[in-house]
Amino acid sequence: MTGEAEASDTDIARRVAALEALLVSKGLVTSEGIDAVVAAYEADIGPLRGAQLVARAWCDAAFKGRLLADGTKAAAELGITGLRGEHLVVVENTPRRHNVVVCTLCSCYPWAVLGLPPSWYKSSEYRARMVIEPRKVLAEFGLCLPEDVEVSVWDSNADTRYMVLPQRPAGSEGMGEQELAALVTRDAMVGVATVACPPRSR
Amino acid sequence: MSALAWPSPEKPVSARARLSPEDEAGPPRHNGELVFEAPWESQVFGLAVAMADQGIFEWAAFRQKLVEETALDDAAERAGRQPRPYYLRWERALERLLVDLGLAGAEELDAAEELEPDTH
Repeated sequence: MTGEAEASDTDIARRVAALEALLVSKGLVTSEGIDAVVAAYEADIGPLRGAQLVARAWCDAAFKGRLLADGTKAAAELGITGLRGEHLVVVENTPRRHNVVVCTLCSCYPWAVLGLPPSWYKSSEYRARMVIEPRKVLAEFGLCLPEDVEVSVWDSNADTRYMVLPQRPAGSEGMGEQELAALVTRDAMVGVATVACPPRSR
Repeated sequence: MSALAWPSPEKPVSARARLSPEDEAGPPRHNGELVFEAPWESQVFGLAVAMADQGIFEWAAFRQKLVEETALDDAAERAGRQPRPYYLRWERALERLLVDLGLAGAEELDAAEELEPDTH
């Protein structure tokens, strides 16, 4: 493929179709295998999985301990598995420490628990600025942290995918796991937001 | 650096990965954003992940190529050039990895493209 900076969508589509056909003919992959992966990430795998881990951790202290000690193993308790060889590390927000996740070199992201990343996560701006000026970037997301809260930025890589365990919001006492899971947003599990509890109607 | 407008606050996660009923009719969206902009993107993604899952190559090896392609895109962006679609990084990374591993030849890939019908 020449002049790839100007390659049209049609050119790329054609190249990809050719690539797939070649690899299928070599027995390296099947079309069904490809479709299964795509269907999983389009329909099944999304942030609700991570939210369920968070909600369970909030309700069950022993599970929370296991989640923080070995995220991969704890996620498997809920039937969540990732790519082979990949480790999930869950980092806990506390009143003294706020965590946020980035991949400075490409776009590594905890797909198995959050689905595929949003465009802003993949942008060169987020990737560069989050490690240089995290508080400023977080403020632009609408999250202003007091000076006495430490900010930890976790740089993801091929083997290690980070997910944030946000703080449980005030006002959520007495809520069940599924109700709690519904409060947890993807952005909170990346660390660019916190979890809010909507006011209860009386 | 230009001011990037971060997207507006997302809606809370609902019981399904696909959020709004009105999006059901169109291509899949998560939090309002398309999962894949075009079918070829999902194909490239599926190819890379399916082969890694099967052990055809180590994810870390593919990731290294992705890091290299990302660096090229970052440099192009700094130079003010038109960016490539994100998943083109993946396509280039995958081809380079396959060639490096001896799983497909560069000429083979070009020849396959020549044979592909113009129907996309």
